[in-house]
Amino acid sequence: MPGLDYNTLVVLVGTVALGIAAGVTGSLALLRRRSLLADALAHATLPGVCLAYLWTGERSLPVLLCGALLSGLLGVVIVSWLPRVTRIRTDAAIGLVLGVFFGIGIALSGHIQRTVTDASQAGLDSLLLGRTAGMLFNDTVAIGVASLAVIGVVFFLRKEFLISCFDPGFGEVEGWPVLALDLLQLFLLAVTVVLALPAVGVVLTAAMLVIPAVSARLWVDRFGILMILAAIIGGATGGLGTLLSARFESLPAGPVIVLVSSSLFIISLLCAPRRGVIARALRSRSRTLNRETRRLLALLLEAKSRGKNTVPHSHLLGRERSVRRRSLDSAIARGWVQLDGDGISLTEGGHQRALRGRRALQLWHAYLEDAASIDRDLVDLDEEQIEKILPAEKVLELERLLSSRTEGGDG
Amino acid sequence: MIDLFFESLFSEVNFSILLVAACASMACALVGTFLVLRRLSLLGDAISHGVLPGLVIGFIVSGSRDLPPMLIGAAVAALLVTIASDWLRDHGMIDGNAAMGVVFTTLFALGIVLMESHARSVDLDPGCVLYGQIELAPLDMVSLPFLETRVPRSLLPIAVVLIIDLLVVLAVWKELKICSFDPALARSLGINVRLVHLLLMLLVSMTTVACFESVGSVLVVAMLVVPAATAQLLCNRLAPMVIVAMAAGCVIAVVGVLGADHLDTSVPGMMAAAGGGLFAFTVVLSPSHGLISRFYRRTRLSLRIASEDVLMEMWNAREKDGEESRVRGRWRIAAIWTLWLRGWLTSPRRSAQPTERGTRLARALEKRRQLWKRFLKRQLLTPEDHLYDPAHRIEHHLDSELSERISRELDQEEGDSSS
Repeated sequence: MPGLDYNTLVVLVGTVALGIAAGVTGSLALLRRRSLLADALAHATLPGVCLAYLWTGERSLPVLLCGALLSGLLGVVIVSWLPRVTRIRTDAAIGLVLGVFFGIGIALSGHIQRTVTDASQAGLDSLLLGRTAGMLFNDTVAIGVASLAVIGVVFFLRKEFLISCFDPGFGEVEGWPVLALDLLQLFLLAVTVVLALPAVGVVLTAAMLVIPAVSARLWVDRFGILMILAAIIGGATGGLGTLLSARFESLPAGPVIVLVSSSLFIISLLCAPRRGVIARALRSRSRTLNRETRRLLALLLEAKSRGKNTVPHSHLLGRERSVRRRSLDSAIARGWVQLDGDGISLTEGGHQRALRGRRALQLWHAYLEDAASIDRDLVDLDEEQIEKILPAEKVLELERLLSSRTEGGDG
Repeated sequence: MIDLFFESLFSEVNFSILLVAACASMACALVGTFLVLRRLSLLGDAISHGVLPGLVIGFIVSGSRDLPPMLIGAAVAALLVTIASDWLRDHGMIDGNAAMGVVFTTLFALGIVLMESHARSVDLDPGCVLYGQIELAPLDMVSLPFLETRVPRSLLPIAVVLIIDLLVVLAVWKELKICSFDPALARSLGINVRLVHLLLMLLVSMTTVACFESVGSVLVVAMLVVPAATAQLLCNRLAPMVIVAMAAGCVIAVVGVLGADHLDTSVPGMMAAAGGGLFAFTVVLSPSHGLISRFYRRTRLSLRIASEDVLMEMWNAREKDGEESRVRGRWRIAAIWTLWLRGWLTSPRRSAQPTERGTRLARALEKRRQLWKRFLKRQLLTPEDHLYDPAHRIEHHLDSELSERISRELDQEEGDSSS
């Protein structure tokens, strides 16, 4: 690519690798409802960084990150331990660890700032908000290797992780080391968080993990595909954010990466095919339309059975005028209803349709009376869907029930 | 030592810092209690990070670091965080935690980018948002209109918010209480749960915004959660919990300010560390929910169960033997000694015999076991070979009143079926 100097390239590779690893572990965290645990973890790394610095007295990144990893892990362990032995709930435990550890870290870093004279603070301060541009070749190599390791572990244990996300009880019955798997997941999360710290900083690390996973979740429903898509989104937004911030020099890369991935999230939220806001609004609109059309046909059928073939307009357009109007238009467009002077009447096709709808409704009512407990998903009195939802024998049985009832009523 | 303590506490500089710290942590503790009870602790985290763009925009629009425009911007951003995360959770099919995570990190990133691109080279930097500037409190004092004393300027918003919080909480105390513990009941009583929720969110946003100028955004999270969680370990009722939480907030403020002075470090950091210490102390030592009292209660119960089992076995051994013991090893030794010390065994040895009182107790236990077996068999239709274990476990927990009731019911039923 033209205009891409060596430094930018190094940073680009680093952020892409980071984004991929964060997408993978982030989707695991999302499925276990642990998204904000990543945030607590990131904040909990600060005292470790400061202690490592105080202890060794040098500002080498690997040493600081080891300290970060250890104190982050301690924080996570406390978060998962507190709710089990006390009445403190998980959310409060996360808040506790996040606030207290970060406070201790700030107190320590204040101490360092005032006592250690040559501490230019750059090493510690850059961890708070991240300094992507300061990434060196060695850092990139380290991030790349660690990301590969994280992805490799997740790939080899994908089946176990899948079960632990959706049915931990099953894993326990199967005799898997559920606790160890859980700890491994937390460890992978911690490693990713620690890798992301120098790049995007304490506060925005959570974004690297959460946002790509949430965006991917809007598009897909399957575990493996979710991870792959989250990894792709994470990598792409990492790369794009880095390029943008290299282009506009005043902007720090970390926040730009986050903003790029939030934009992608907003697009996903709007446009995703099944879970997207637009798709759901359209679905709900078409469902309303179908229901109103059905009611219109039923109304006309009833009028016909009373000998009135044509119903005047004014009878139909009462409340919810626009919906009625649209349903009438759609019924006419589909050839079920025809305009008849001042009113409207059923066509032959519409008559058939209305009869089918009435039968389905009767069947549903029979079924609902029959079944004591009904899955809520099934109770959608949608026209002619009954054969698709209930087994054929059940429909036959219901029909027998219905006919015997009408005969009984006649006799 | 004590003199030194008070001297350091009441030196004017420290006192004004302490005043700000105590008011901030009390205000946070008050609203934090309701957040913790409603499992919304992390909302404080989300709000305190999410206000950043509001602050920056307030700054850019007004062009100065005057408080009012920045506070208005921050309050708007805070409400945006709560409303957006609620909306994402309810309409975007996204897990509540993740929704909050998306919203506040996005806003924070937006804030930093705005700050770097439009508000550069001013004394507004991410650090002052993260850490707060409580140390500067004594440098900017104002005198109050009707009082003689001079107070730090940064105390004013915090004090106002604290008073508003107190008034609102007292005014809607009953509603808040019911909504915190049983939203369904609240709804059925005709309380507008949504309105109460929004009111609480408004209080939290206001408090967060007013406090973090002094104590910094992350420490607001600590102040919201730590005192409330500490109080939760000490109290079982709401009113004491609120009072204890506010008291804990004061303690944290005092310890934090003194510790920061002593160690020469940041006040908010030390306050959070002090909060952590106080919480750890409570987790271990709380009389009702602490680890030590929990361990003590559990050990006592285990010992009672073990000794009752051993007593039964010894009593039964006079009639039949060959049955394997349920209690082995150290527990058995401890149980035998307990039984001897209570005077239920003749000697602390394996070959000991139950005393007169021991026999009486064993008989009572045996009666309960049989009763429970009968109950399981008749009322719960448990198969014969599954009776032994549950009956064994439950016999230790039946008090005489419950036994009486069960035996009455069983007798009545048997009378019915035979007649």
